Amino acid sequence: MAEKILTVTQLTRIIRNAIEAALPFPIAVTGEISNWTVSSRGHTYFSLKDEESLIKCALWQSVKTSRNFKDGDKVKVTGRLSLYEPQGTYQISVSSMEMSGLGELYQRFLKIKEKLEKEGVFDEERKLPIPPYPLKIGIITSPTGSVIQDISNILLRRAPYIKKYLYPASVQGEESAGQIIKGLEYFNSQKPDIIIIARGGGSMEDLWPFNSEELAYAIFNSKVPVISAVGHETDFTIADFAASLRAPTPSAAAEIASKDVRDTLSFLDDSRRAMAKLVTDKGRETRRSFFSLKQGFYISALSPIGRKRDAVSFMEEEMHIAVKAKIDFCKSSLSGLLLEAEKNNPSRLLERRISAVNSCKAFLLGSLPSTTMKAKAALSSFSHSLDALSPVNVLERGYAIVTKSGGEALSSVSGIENGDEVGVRMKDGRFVSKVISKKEER
Amino acid sequence: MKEERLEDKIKEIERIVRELKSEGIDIGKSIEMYEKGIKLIKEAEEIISAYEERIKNILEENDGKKKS
Repeated sequence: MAEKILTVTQLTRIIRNAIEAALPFPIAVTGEISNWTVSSRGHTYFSLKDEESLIKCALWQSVKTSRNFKDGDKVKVTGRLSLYEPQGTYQISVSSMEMSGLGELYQRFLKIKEKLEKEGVFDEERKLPIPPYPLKIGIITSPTGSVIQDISNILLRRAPYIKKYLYPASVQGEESAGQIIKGLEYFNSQKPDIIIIARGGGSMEDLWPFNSEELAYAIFNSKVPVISAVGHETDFTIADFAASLRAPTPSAAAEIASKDVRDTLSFLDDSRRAMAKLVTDKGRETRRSFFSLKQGFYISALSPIGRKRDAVSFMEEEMHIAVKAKIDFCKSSLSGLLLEAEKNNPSRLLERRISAVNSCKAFLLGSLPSTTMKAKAALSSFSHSLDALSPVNVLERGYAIVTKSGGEALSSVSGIENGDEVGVRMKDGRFVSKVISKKEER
Repeated sequence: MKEERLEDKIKEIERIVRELKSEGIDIGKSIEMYEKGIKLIKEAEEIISAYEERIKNILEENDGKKKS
């Protein structure tokens, strides 16, 4: 069996493939930095090591880190393992790295933080509120450098009416913490509205004075609210935790401490409007409740007199009823009497009399015909007798009636003389004759 | 002064009502009393209205003072 011989490149490829296949991506490794070297092209090369091993790392210029690192820093790096074939070396291509918290200073920092936390120095409820409209701000920082300039500019632009007081203090080195504490004491006697403790960015060592326990207590005990603005946004110090408020940067501290004057003016305007509305509403409300109180008072003032009015009206009604009852009683007695009187009405008596008369009349009328008949019959027989005796009837039998010229019937010749004219009546007419002779006979 | 008179009037009206309600009184007398009662009632109502008006005026006067 022929021995298989690889070229260097072939072997290297196999190793690379094996490594890359065996490892997860990305990998995270912790270790201590050594041989921190920045190349002229801006790439950084360093080694990560622990007690027994070492591995090379490359931090390309294009990768941004949150802070500066140096030898001895204990860090956590994240990246991928790559094999550099021309040199036959392998290394970690770092994509991000941070302090692993294993640095010595960092350990001390953690210890102080833990201790003070237990002692209540960081208690949120103990922190003083930041007044929204400070008029005086005390600033503790270095009199030189950009920090005080930045803060001044921002305050001037946003709130030119704020008075600024600088307490110059060293912000680095052994003296620093003591000077800052003095500054706090000074401003606690001067009583500005806010104290800002500020410093620009720097390494952990540079910022170390701000991790002082004494400073933390001085901040904690300050009667004036303290804004801590130390380093960059990613830097945290004990002072930051002890302060009333941590600002990520000195410029941010100036912005937090001061409201823009335009915002302030519009806030005032809004407040005035809100106040006016509240006060008007209150007035209206008061007027309303006063009105109902007045109504109530009015009603209760009127109620005794109202009761009198009721009583009077009630009595009036009663009076009407009583009088009406009286009248009704009279009326009803009267009508009883009327009924009685009606029974004995004289017209009734009269009527009775009239009817009696009428019945008599009827009786009389009823009896009349028979009486007359009898009378008539008698009359008729009389008339027959009379007829028999009538001279007219004698004339019928051929006799004549002689009358004197005066019409007087003659029954004897004794009254006539010769020459007298006498009337003779026959049955069918009459004539006048002259007596020529007369002779008495007997 | 008027207050007493109002009370008196009311008492008098009460008395009239009582008498009108009694059986014994004759009609002529009762009409007389009725007439008197009506008169008293009218007077009492006038007094009452005057009181009401006075109360109203007092309140409005006060109101006016507050406003000005």
